Amino acid sequence: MSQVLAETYLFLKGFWRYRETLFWVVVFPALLVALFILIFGSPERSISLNVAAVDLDGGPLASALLKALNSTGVAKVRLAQAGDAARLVANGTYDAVLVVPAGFTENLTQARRAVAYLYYYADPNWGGVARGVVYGVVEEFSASVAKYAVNFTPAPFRPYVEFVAQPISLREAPVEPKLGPGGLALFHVVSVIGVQTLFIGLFTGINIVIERRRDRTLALLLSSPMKSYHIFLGDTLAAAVAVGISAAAVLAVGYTLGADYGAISPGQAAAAALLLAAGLLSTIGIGLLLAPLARTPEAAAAMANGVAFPLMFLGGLAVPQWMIPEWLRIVPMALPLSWCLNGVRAMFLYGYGPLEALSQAAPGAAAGLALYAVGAFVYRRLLHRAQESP
Amino acid sequence: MGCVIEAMGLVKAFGGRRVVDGVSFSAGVGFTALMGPNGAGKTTTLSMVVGALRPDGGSVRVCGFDMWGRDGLRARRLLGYAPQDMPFKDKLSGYENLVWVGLIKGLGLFEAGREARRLLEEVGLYEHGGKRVALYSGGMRRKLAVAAALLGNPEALVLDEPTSGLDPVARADLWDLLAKVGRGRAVLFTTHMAEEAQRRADFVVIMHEGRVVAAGRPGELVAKYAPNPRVLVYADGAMGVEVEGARPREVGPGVYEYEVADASLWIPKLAEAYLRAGAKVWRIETREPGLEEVFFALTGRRL
Repeated sequence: MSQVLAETYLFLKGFWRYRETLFWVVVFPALLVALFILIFGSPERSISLNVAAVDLDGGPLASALLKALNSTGVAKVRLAQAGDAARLVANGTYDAVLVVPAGFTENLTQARRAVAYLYYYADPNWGGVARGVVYGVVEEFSASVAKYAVNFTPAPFRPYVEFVAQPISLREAPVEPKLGPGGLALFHVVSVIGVQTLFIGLFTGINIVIERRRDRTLALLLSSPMKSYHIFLGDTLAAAVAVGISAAAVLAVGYTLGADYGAISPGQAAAAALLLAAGLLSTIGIGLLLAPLARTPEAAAAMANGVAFPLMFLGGLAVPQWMIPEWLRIVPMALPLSWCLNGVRAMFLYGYGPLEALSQAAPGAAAGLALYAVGAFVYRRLLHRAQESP
Repeated sequence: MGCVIEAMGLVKAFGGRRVVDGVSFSAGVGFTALMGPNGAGKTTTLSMVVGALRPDGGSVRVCGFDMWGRDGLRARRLLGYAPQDMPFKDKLSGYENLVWVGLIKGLGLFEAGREARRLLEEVGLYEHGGKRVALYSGGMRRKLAVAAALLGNPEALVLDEPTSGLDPVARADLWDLLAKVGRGRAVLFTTHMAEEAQRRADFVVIMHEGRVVAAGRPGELVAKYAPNPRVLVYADGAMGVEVEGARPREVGPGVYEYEVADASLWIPKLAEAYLRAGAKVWRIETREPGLEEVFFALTGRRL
């Protein structure tokens, strides 16, 4: 029995003495729960929908409806061109588009039923949320118009009229994403590959020297006829292979769960591989920038996890960027991997061509390569330092 | 002529303390032992020799190539190194580990595989090549480390404490192997065992507190620095007997030690003296001094 308790005893004794344990047991979950509450805890603050309106009516009630939609604080309404609604939703520009046709105000003021059209992205995730928000606003607006009209109805008929009154009829037009029903699964496939790239790259960068010092492989490498960049490139290649294997597994699981790869051309696949490679180099670079701060492999692992987990969410890798509060969207903007992943999503989910996606992601990919180059410089210094003391 | 490993004025300090202080030696074809107690600076010296640790001063040449200069890669190519605890991957087989080291040494995949098989055979581990290294005994791991050091057919071998922690049988077995593979090569090894250095090395470099205190052939070192041989007399019935000015030292109950210049001349003299004194002599033995005594004579400390 005492053997069973021995480990618990050791853990409790070492709890306050090992910073890594303290970090993983207390600090990290605290940080994570704080981040989750901050991002997902309050819908008013966390959801920011991109809704467009096409106002073909121009009357006061149409304006009032759009104002009501804007006042939710959830949907940011921008006016779009007439006739573009379905296309704008399909290519991902907007989460939903509300079309208020001509005669909307006139119909309502003359006690006739008015019609509005809602185009939304046909998936249960953010398209569903957009639909729900717009639907709710229109319902509420419709109810207030009805209440106004019911006041003029003789008292005995009011309950019946209230029951049937629905002055605004919202006709819904779900818009299928270009890749069809496999689109959402594909979104998650790309997300998970991105997350894997983040973790593998960060761990590779942070551990490239310190782990080898611990397991004494470094002495073997330094005494072998290798140039210092051989180790660096070797680790980069190993990380790329790891991401490749990981991506293959994710793609296979995604396929079995309905992800649709049918519309992906070889050119798009090649461009995606290039973008992921650039993203991986950027994360290796970030890992190397952090590496000098880690004195032990345990500290390095804690640091890598501490950086990777928040970035997984805040970097727009595992969750759609619209779920991130606007003030935090600077994080995916500053994360090269996020740019690269957005390029992949643009191709796989919205049908962008390889060149179009590459040019869209080019600033992020270039920043990623620059990070890798800086990381290589840091690596040389780390290796030099490792050669100075055993 | 063959390959020579030369260390010239090596200096290394950690935290302001010099752990290696002007170490120079030369190790030609044959076995050279870097002998000293733990903390003498042997492993630090070796790390600088193999290119894993940058010296603060001094230089290293392997087969004429400067390890820390422009020829560093050529020097490393000519040198095989087996650290005290080779960082084998326990979950990989012996063969796979050798292929891994072979790739590190710049062999192609097929060549590394071919060399791994050949060396497994040479070190007597061919039948165990497919086994995970975690299942290897200490002796088998050391043999595998020697095989790893031999990958790429180096002209010089550097072995850090090759036999430490091994039982006598495994140690003898490993030395048989080293004698075989070390033929024609410059083999530099560290040890804290004087007996091992004396028996196995052609040349010995004695280190103490980061410095070389003596270097030479084992016999020469003993002749130069070791005290005279000792004769031990095991006797009952008499206290230690003084013979021709040689005073006994009681080293145990009824055991008397004499320091003499020539043991063979003194044995009959001592036997006669004890018998004359009415003692019963059980046994007389001589103890020839070795490198242990040399180290003691030079440093005042035991290894």
